[in-house]
Amino acid sequence: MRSFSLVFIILVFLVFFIVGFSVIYFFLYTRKINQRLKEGVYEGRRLWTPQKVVLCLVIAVLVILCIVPLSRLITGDKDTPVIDDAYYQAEYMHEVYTPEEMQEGYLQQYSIDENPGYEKTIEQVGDVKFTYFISEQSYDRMHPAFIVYVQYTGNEPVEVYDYMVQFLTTEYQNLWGNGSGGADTSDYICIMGNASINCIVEVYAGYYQEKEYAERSDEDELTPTGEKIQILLNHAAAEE
Amino acid sequence: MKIKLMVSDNSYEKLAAALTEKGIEIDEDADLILTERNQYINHLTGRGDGEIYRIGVADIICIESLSHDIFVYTSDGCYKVRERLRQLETLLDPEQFLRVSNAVIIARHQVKRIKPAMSSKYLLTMTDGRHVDVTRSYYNIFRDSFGI
Repeated sequence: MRSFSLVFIILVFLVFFIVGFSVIYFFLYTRKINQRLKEGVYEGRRLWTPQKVVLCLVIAVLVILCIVPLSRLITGDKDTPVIDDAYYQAEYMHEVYTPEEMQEGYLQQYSIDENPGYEKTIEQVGDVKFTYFISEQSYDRMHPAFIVYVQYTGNEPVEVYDYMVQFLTTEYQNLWGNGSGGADTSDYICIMGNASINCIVEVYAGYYQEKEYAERSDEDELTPTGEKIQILLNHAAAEE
Repeated sequence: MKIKLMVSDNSYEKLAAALTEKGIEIDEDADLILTERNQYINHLTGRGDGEIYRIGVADIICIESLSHDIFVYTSDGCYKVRERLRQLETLLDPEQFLRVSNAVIIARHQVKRIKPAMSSKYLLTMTDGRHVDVTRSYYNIFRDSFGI
């Protein structure tokens, strides 16, 4: 959506540029030829007619618009480093649980207060409090590498929440992400996840009124909003 | 026998005297015309208000063809001439006159303003306020002539 808007803006700018330049040149050209007429100068370098200028401008813009994408296609975008294949072969996962679900089965062992073998951190970002735990052990498929408790601490009444979990390379390149939302804003939500490779996990969470949330959803569903934390997972086992 | 002289001023008097002596009448309405090679005329003969006038080419603003008639416009008025536009094109000094369309010859020094159009044309404003179009066929000739 953003890239489409950018292309549209660029095209509109180019049209205005061509039209504006042509109008200005038209006036300058008219002035110049009448100046020569007044001075009785009938020899001299022939001027480019406005039609020729417009044509050349349009062709130049079209050529530039074709060349730039072609060159990027051929040489690749040198500014953006290539993502290592290892990231594509790694596993990423996360789940979200309500407080009720956290009281069931094996989830009962986890708590917002303390989790043995995990380093606890609390971050208050705006009206959202993130209490998160990062595993101090090596990568283990059976246990989450990170646990994040998300709570709303603001004074304004809220009716819905949404969240998104984004996995990034250690160079901050997007790998994979997913999110959802709900209506129960009374307590916390718990997000647990894991990754088989060292990476960065971004957790977004936002709390809204119904109307505000509906408007936001209409605009752009793909861009995460809300408050954010970043967690560095540095636990993956070394390759054998 | 009647003859019309379309020659330069230098030759006119001499020729007129010689022809008159031979019994040949000089008449501006004559169908027989005597012209001079490699010389451009300084006067045209035209009819206006029922009278015949001798028009100096320096006074001409433009010459226009309308239907089958040729009109010469000066600051004093409008005169009808018998010559065709193509004929006038050869008789008038190309340094001073330029054909800008199938129907119009202009006097170059009588152009007051040039306005370009976006469609390979120019709109000329003459010294008497008259507007004349330079058509597409004569576009490049006009540009070369005026150096624009």
